[in-house]
Amino acid sequence: MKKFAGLCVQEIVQTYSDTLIRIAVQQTKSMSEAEDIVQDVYMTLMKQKKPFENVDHLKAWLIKVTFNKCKDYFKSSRVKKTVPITEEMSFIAKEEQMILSEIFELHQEERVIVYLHYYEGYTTAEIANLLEMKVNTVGSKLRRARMKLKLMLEEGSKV
Amino acid sequence: MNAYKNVMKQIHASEDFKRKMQKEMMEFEEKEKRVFMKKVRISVGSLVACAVIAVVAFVNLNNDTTVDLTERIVVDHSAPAASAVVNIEGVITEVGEDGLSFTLDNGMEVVVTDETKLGIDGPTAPPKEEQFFEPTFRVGNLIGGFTEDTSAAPITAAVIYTNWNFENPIR
Repeated sequence: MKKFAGLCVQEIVQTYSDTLIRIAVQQTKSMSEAEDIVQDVYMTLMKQKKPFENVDHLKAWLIKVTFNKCKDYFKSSRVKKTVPITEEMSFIAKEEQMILSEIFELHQEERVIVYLHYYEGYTTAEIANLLEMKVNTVGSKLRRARMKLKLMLEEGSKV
Repeated sequence: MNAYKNVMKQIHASEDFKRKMQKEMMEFEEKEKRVFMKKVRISVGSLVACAVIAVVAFVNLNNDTTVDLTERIVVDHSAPAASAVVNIEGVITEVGEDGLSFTLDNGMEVVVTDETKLGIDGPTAPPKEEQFFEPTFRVGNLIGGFTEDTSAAPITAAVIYTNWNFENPIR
């Protein structure tokens, strides 16, 4: 059975699907499009010949490829056919869907930077490496996003 | 936990999606294995075929009965000039199955042995590739040579110095 960084495909799907889906949903604003993108990411992984040094390397690769495929998505004609977020994410409470709407107001790169920093715990340097940006650029985008989402990023904040 | 994290936590891949992905990835891996094994089988098959062809060619090479008579021609310019009585002369009308015996148009039956000298020797002999000597005896070839034993039948040629079809020569 094929393994990547010592993990079999079942382990990879169980471990990383949530992260990749969250990144793709924030970019595409659509669960179905996000699933298509993550599916594409996994197929790209299956064709990958270069070995991964460790699980951190694997995770970083998956995140980077997901973000890049989201960028490709925006260049395609599929963008116009997305279903409104409220229809696909009815499992999120209405008041929390407002938070989603605010997140979607951010610029594409700001959304993924905020997610990688505040949810996944990556530093600005690690994010810069992942997204192939300059550290200063990541830092300034993070500051800007933090100002926009000030309230919801505070610990113990409620809607 | 802040509101952002709370919302993000609620967005996740469904179990259906994960099952579907695991199944597709394993099917992809199986397909890759089948393609790889097919390539291996083709490669091995090609190698075996090449080996068989090589062996057959080698065996045929060793069993080849075609003799190039011109290979037996030895030109020795230091050999003394000799006067020869040409008593084998005519056009081949029939060639034996071994390719080294023939009948001339004058009825003479001639046998060429390992001792028979082929081609012209001596200080004035032309180079081997310029002599009128074809690789094989053929019907229609003009033969010139001599024998030291005219009483025997068939005649064993001592020397054959010409074996050439002037109408349709080959080298």
